[in-house]
Amino acid sequence: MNHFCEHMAFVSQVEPKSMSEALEDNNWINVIHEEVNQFARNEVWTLVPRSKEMNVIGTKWVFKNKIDEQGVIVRNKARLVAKGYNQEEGIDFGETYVPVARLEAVKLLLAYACLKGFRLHQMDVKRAFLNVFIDEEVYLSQTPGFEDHNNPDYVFKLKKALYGLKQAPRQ
Amino acid sequence: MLSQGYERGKTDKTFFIKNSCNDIILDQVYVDNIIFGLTNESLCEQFVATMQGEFEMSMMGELNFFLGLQVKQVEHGIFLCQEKYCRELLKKFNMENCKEASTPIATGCYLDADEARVDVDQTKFSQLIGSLLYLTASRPDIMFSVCLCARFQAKPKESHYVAGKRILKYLKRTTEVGLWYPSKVTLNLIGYSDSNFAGCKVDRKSTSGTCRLLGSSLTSWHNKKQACVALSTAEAQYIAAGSCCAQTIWLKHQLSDFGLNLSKIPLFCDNTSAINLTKNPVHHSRTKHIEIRHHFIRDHIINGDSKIQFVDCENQLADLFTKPLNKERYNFLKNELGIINFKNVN
Repeated sequence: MNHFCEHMAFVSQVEPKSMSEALEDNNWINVIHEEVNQFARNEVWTLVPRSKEMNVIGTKWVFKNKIDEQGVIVRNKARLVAKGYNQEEGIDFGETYVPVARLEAVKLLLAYACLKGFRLHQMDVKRAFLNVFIDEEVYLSQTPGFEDHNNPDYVFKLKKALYGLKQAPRQ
Repeated sequence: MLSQGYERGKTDKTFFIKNSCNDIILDQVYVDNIIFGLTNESLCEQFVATMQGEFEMSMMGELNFFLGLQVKQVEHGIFLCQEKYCRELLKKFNMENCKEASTPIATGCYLDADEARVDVDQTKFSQLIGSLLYLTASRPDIMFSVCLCARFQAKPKESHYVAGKRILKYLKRTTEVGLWYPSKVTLNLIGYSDSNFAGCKVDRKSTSGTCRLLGSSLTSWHNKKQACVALSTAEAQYIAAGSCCAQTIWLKHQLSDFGLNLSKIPLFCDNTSAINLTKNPVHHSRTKHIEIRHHFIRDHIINGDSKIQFVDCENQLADLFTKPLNKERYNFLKNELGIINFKNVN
């Protein structure tokens, strides 16, 4: 119980609708910082001067609370996403097809594992899209609230994919 | 992953396998989610370590929740369900306190375009159908009724909405039902195919219903209104058997990636004329018009990929996917296919 209370202290119970709402809550500020640091650590982008021929894509913050089986909020999740709908085909992205497993294939694997008597495990790749480099040149406007004060009109040139980009899942 | 000695599946590009001294590692990748199974538990840590070397991974442990499917792994089998989703669905459509129904569709229920009746909100109806379709991932028992209602999405009428609500009433009674995969059974693959001749009241097309079981585990099923009008029951059955065969072939390829080679996969059909059609290429006046693509099955039977066998109506498990049934028959089929409540697993 003690552990439970301790854990609760770091989790916000509300889901902010906008950045300004999020900034009123310390828990959310922490989560946002964590996400921004993540981008820096993974060297997702470099800052470059803006030029006229660039199609610069905006970004947006998405705030979501993760709920466990009992319906208790266990984690606040902030994610910076690109407004992929502003991307132009041929310039910003090529193919958007992504190979995924069919649900039947998953069921077949389950049935097979069951008959063969082995246990199945699962894991997931953290920030999967940040693991790979993208081929196209994609420019992002700077994150609201985290602008570089020395170069406010610079834009980010993406090295790696971001959630919301058309080509993201494909990488 | 390929650099670590894994082989990519021949049919499924998101499937990887590694064989090392009698131990096998199987894994299926779904964008950023990975399911893996090992014949030897000690290899598990080693596998996790290699993966963590490549990517930043979070180990979630035993498989229990994947793409909305709740998975329970127990001593003698695996149970799959979407109970949580089902509850949310009932809540979303304000059916939490509705009356319960024992089957998703009334026995005499035949839906048609129903021009004269009152229109209902198309968006709401589509939402209902869409939500129910997602639920069919673990609930083949509502497949037929959902697919039937789904045909009227363009112009939903009151009667269609009532039929949709009936499915929800049935779900209210059977929220905890899911798929049970028992472990102690022989490993074989079998298919069932059935059809209802001229089942659609609007354009008189037939519906095929097929399912395939690996051991006693229902792994894939489908229900589809046939693309052309069949002139006889045999023709409708023949077309259904063809689509069942196509799916079986896919499963066969998939299983060969697992290292399991099957041939002469039995396909059960309850119509002798359709069975004879697959064996005898003679054109009769009533069958000579059948399109070339439907003769696909004949070719695969000659190749020895599959063989077609007769099953009596009583044991035709694909019945569940082709017609509205009474309570007794319905429960019998559900039991045979392993669509049960986890509490009733023995």
